[in-house]
Amino acid sequence: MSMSISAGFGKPYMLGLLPIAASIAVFLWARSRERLRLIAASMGPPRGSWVLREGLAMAKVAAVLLIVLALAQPYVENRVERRIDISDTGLLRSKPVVVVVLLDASKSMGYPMGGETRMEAAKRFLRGFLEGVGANTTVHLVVFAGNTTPLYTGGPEGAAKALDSVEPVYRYTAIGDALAYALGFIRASGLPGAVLLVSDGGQNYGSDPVQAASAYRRGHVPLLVVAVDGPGVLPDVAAAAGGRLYRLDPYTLPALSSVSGEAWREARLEALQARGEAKIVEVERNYSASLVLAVFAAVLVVVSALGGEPW
Amino acid sequence: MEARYKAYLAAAAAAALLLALLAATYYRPQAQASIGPEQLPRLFVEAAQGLNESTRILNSTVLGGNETSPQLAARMEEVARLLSEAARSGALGEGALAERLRNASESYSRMALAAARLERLAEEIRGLRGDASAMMDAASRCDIGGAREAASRLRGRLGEARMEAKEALDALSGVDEGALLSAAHRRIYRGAYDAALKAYLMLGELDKVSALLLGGDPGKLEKLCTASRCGGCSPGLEGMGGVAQQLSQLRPGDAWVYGYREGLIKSWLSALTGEGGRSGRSGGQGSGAGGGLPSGED
Repeated sequence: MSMSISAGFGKPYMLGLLPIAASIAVFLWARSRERLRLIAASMGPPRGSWVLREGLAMAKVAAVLLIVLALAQPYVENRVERRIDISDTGLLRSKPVVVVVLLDASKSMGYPMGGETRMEAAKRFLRGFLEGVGANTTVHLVVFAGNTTPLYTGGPEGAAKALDSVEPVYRYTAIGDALAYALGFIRASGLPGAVLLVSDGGQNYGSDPVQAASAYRRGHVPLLVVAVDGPGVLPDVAAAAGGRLYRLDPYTLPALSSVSGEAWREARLEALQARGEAKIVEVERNYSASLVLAVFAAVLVVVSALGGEPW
Repeated sequence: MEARYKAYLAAAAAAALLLALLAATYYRPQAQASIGPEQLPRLFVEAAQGLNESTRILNSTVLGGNETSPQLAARMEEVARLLSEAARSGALGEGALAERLRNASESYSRMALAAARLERLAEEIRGLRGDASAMMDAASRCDIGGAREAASRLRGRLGEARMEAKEALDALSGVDEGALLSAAHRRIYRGAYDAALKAYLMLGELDKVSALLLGGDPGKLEKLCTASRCGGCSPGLEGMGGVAQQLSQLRPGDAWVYGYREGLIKSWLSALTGEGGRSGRSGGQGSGAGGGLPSGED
């Protein structure tokens, strides 16, 4: 947490009145002196303290200038830069983030799991995940099996619709190739980004997924891994990337919303942390100086009037 | 009068003026002892807004937020009292409109009371969520010793939090949704009821997990957890029927933010039911991009 303090005016254009106010002040002061001179000429030197008389005259001048300053609404600004942790990720909602969703569409994702197929469970998880990501998130949905195929890029609602067309009918599972593609996409986007890998972990084709995952750690790109009904190679992938592994099985399925919510908060925060953007600036302006000046000006007016200084 | 005395007088007047201005900023009108029918709509809106705010605070607290509003709880209790008195007093008169206002006052009074309870529930949850997370995290990575420590710290606080959640639910159950005066207020009511129910169920699940951890043999629980991860690699799991029953009663879907971790704990059952070590596929490495034949097509 870092803090900086500065000062300024809420209505600085009011300071344009200062020359007029200064003219009025000089006029009031000159009139006061003239009045004292006339009294001295006709009645002799006035009684009482010279300091008090001069003070009352100056009070009028100061009151006029203070009124203008009060109208300009001076403030003290306190800027606090606060790093956000996992508990306050909602505060980062307005920051744009890219999420690459890698969905395994190999035939093994069609295997049954707890009354539905792995693919159906993965889709349910992803719909919950996409529901929570917010409008400022760009989703790049990629389907992979032996090949890596970009399916959709855009808002989360469109991505959820695009999921409908995905079927687990493709041969082979090349997790490493899909990871390499996603990393390239995140780097090219120039935005804070995270990759969500949803697979049953049955790697059987293409480049080494653990090696591909280790590039994520080096590149500070967060990788979240969702293992659908069996970890396979995925614990090693998550460990190599320094990422988090979630298990989606018949036991965790009933808590899908909890899994997707937790995964999303984690992904978003890590993506922003990696780019040094997981922080917010809280600005607090204190305008009480304006009130103090106005009250002080009023006091000076009253003092000078009661002290016998005509306005 | 000499100019010097005039100046003293002026200074005293100025000081009095300054004090009066300062005092004015501290003036807060006291709540009225009773209210008339013309003030009811404002209190209805205040009760609905208060419930909306406390629901938001509760949801945010469960997710880890730190927002508090103790003055909201105090004000909502005051609003509940005023509305309840208005409903019981004869100031509303007779007739169909008076009867409707009386019903609405009762319902909004309960909404305000529930708002206060939800704010206090959020406070209780804020106090226990650190231990709850520690317990669930430790248990889901088979650190039974750590989980038991957190569970024993958690146990005392869970009772109070559940009581607060129960009272909030009781207050909300007494609201006649049909007596609420706008669709927006009905939406707020339903949202609050959902949040209170989810919190109550979540606390119940935390209670079940802490009872499981504190009631079972730590050594056996650790074996069970490890066995569920590696497919029956740890023998000696006989005589754990009680634990199996406790595990089968866990409802990860009811544990809100702890649902995933409770699911992982419930998966210990797989070691007892013979489903341990869910296969997926073995994590064999590929044969290099484009090189060689794959080991299988799926």
